[in-house]
Amino acid sequence: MVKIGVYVCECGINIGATVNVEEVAEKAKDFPDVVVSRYYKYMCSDPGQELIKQDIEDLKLDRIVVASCSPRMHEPTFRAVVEDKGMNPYCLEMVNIREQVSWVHKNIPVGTEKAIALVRSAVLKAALLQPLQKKKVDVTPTAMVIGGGIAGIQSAIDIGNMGFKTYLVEKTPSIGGTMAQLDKTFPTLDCSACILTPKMVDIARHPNIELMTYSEIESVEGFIGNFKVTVKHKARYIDVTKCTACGDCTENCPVVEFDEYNMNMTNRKAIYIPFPQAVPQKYTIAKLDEYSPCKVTCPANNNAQGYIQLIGVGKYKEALELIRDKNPFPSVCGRVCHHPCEEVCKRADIDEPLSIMQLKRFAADYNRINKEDPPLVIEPSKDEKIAIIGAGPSGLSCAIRLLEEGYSVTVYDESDVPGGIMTSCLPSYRLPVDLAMYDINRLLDQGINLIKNTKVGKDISFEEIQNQYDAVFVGIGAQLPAVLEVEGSDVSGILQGMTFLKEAKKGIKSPEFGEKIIIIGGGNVAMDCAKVALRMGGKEVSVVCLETRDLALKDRMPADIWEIEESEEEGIIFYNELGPRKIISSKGKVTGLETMICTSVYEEDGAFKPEFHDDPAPEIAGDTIIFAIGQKSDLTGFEALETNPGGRTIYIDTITFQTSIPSVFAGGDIIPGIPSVVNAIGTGAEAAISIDRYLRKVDIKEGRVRDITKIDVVRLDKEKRPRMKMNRAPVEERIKDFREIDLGYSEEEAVQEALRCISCSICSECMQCVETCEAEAIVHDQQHEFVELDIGAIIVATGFDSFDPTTKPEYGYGETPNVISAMEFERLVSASGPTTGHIEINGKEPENVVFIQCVGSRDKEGHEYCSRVCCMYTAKQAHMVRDKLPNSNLTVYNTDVRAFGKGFEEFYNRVQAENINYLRRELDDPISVVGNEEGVIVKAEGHPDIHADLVVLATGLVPREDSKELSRLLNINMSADGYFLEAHPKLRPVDTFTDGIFLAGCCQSPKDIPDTVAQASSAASRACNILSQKQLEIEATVAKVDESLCRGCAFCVESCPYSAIEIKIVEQFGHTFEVAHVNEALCKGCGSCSAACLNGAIYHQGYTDNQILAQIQALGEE
Amino acid sequence: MDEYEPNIIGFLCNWCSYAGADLAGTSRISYPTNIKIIRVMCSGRVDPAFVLEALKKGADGVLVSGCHFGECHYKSGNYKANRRIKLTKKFLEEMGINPNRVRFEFISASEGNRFAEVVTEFVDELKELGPLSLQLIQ
Repeated sequence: MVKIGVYVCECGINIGATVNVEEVAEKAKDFPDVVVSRYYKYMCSDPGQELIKQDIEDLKLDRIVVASCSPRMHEPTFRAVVEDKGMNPYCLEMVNIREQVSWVHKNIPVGTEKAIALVRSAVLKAALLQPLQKKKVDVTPTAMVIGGGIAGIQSAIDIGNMGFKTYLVEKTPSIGGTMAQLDKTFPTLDCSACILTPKMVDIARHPNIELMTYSEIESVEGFIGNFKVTVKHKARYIDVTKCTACGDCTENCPVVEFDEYNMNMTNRKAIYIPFPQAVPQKYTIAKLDEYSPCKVTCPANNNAQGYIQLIGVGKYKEALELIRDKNPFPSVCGRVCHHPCEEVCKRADIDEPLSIMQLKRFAADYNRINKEDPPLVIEPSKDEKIAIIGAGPSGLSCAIRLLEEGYSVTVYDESDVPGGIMTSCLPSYRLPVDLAMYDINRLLDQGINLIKNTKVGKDISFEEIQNQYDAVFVGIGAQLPAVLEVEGSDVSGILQGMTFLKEAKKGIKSPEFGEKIIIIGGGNVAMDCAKVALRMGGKEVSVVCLETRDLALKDRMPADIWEIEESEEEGIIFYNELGPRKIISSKGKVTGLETMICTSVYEEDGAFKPEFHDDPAPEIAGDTIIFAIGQKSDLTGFEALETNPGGRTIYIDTITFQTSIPSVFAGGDIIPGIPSVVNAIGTGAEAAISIDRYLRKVDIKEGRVRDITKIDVVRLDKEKRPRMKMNRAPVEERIKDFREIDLGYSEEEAVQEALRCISCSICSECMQCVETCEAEAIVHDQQHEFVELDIGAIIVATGFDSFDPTTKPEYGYGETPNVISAMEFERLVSASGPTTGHIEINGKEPENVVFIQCVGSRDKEGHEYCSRVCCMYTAKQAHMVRDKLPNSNLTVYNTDVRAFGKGFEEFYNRVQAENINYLRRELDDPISVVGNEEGVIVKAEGHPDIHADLVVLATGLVPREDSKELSRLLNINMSADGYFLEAHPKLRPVDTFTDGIFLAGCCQSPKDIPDTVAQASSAASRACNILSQKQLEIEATVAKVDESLCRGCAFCVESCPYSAIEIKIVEQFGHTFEVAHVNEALCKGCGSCSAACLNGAIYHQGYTDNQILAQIQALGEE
Repeated sequence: MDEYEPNIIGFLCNWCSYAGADLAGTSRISYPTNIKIIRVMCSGRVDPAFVLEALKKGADGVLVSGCHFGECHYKSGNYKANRRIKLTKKFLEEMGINPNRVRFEFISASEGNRFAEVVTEFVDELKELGPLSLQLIQ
């Protein structure tokens, strides 16, 4: 029989107010095995503890139940009490009647009733408790400090000085925190940087401190003395062992970002060092993990953001080089690209997308006209020879990439002019032949052999080519017209679109071409045919197509919107949702088209399946009909290659572009996909990578499928500025001949347009830094690193955020430049700030300065607490203004000046005496700051209006935005105000409820620098308490196996997250059995195995099935 | 007659949800008294048999609450609990007991208000369902 003692704590009125502890104690006397039951005012106090000890001695108690606060609070206390009297500490059971009863229930009868039920459940469990032996574990004598502000710096130095290895983890590229941004500190007016930077340098030099900047906590596992912390070391894209902090890179970086160090009042570059005294002295490239949509949407992977940024800073040659890196046809794609990049440009979220294609055209034209673009001749360095069949965009794109790799490349083309559709089809008003030839010739001049007038399959066999070359790329395009059978088409006056365009390009006009032209088709080729027909002398040009003009619908015309709009502008007539039924003719010549109404074009899955109905449809008069319903490839001679179903396109692997013959690759319009120049360029370049890998005999697929996340959110709030207008040839003029429609941007227009780019991913990867860095320290493909560290104790010193005053519109912050926050004032007044310490607003020294206190603090609807530092920093800031602008008028609106610290009151008196007008106002009284032409008017109730040219808001301190996330990672609590919660507000002010994790500085609550430093040292000392012990006692509540019940199924082995269980062989009665065995040193006591065990053979000591079932029984029965 | 008050037994993991319930107390956020808590080290300790036993012994509802996914003090206990409770609910449904009488929640140490919300919500839901009668299945 056990002897149980029950002790109910009143906790002053904390429990006593809503739980009748006397009644609870009285009722407990009737519970089974209870020998004694008492209540006391403070059970955790010495007399309370004595009470328990005395009873253990007198009554020979062997089980104790204490009903008080949470076991997370005082379980260690009461365990020590029973242990002191020789009882096993695990024979104690606690009942939480404070946090989970009295503090949450307001009614004495129900609170008491619940407390009684819980005590009864604990008594039933207590009867079943077994004595357990505590385990000892080794302590890892290493600390981690999270946060590199003054708190973290102090803690790290203290622990390091005690001789323990310390990791200091800082999220930003430099340590220093908020203190590094302050000008002077109150009340002594020390220069903040002067007292901080020596400590920062100490950190860098300290033999025991390992600094991990630009790093974040990824995960935390384990327990006191034995944490396993994974730190994410964010890529700086800099090899820090090589960076000499010379700063040459910054000068050449085109990307301009707000400077956070200067509170966004100035700009910095994408490659930067946060401030001159930063530790470590290493540069960082700000680059987001997600990709800029323009770049990853481009089928040729062209870095639009990069060349746009370069154009913005006048580096046109560099811009063109960057374009050519991925796209060898800038003159062409600057004119005819279907530019999917512009569809996804995030600038559209602000106003309109960038005019990316036209900027590319500008870069190409500018350098061509200024002759700054000479081709670089490449001599092949490798033995392998490659044949490219087809000198179109895909073929030449593939060719130049292979030439760059050192291969000898020969291109075969059937025509006498290379370029494929670029030179043969695309109308000259869009792409003049000489410009296409400029790009093409430049490539050929680099060292590509071209064999003209040779059709593979006719002049030379495909087999012969394969025999002569080590690898082949097929990019013959799709230049044959697709033919549609329409009744009555065996008459004169019928032309095929592709043939028509080709002849027109050469200046040939078919004798069958008349005056009233009907184009059949709704794609870009149809639009080209229509506009060309107009320019060839067509008097009336109509387009008939199945699809609808509404481009938002699934049955939309496939042509690009600008093609349609231009056609409409030029007077082309559209007949939408009609299909050709019959060609009407007279005397063997076309006279018109009979149509039928099309009700649906595409099925839901996008398959082309037009449906018509029989209602009467218009008849269109015309003497010429041009079919522009698509094009196909001439695959004659390539029968050895497998085709896709339908036989129109070549089968390829969609990643490698390898065909059914391993040495043959294909791209451009002969493979499935949307026909476009830029797609062809992209496929050619990808095929080139495959060919190179194929010839080098390495895996051609590996690493080529990337996980790409596009940037979805615009980072910056920019002023609206629509895209630069493109000058175009007037309609009435341009339709007379084939002159270019778009006239291109001037240099100034191009720069203005380029400056609209919001640089989505920050760094644009323009590679200018790589060019400039002599130390070769730039590593653009650096990856984030994850480091797992064994840590004994952790100090959290993550600091605070400043209150955002835009949430309080009455202060006019953000509305007028004359209102600034306290942190902005700190930078303004600092010698290292944007104005090198001159107090000026809009370039003018202010005459009237008003400080408003308690902005965002002491607010019953928001942050109810006092931020503790604002009164004194305001006094300091007022003093700074008085010091620098002796004739200014200074007013401080305050509610209560809280000058509570050492030297504070004296400082406040001194500042007041400097002719600074302290005006008192009630916090709830209305106050407003309204901008006008001369500055602002500050209206405070009970005071005359003040005209001011500078208003400084004493913005309060708020918890870090990400503190919730960190609290979860570390398993520490947050108080209602959002700061991290200390284990006890009075007696354990730097501990958390998770043993081994401590708090320092403003992450716990707002405080000034001296308090922060004191708390940091205190946390360091608490951490060293742990680190200095070789071994720690830890919970004995580990799993144990009853071998007589175990059937060796190993379910527990699977369920154990620590691999603490294994199957071993035992011998019983001459037989061998497999049973589970727990390695107690590895077991962390979660009890998961016990829940998995079907036999109840493995049990969680302290939480056994029987013990918990007893609790359930008690709680269920009431 | 007094309004029907459902009896709820809650199994809370020591590291997240029990601390979350403590935080509700520290923050003085009140919630109905109907819940009585049994502390376990990890939600992964909760044997489905406990849930069934609780219902059998008189509880009208059972709350099992652990850390958020990825934050389990013991790496994966909450995933196991989640699976086990899902299975238990299926079993209850087979037995003709409304599976909504068993609830699995993620409540972190910093979510005191969430704990109070969950309890309040659960009590309302159970009032709606009425007392659990096991006569049907006996």
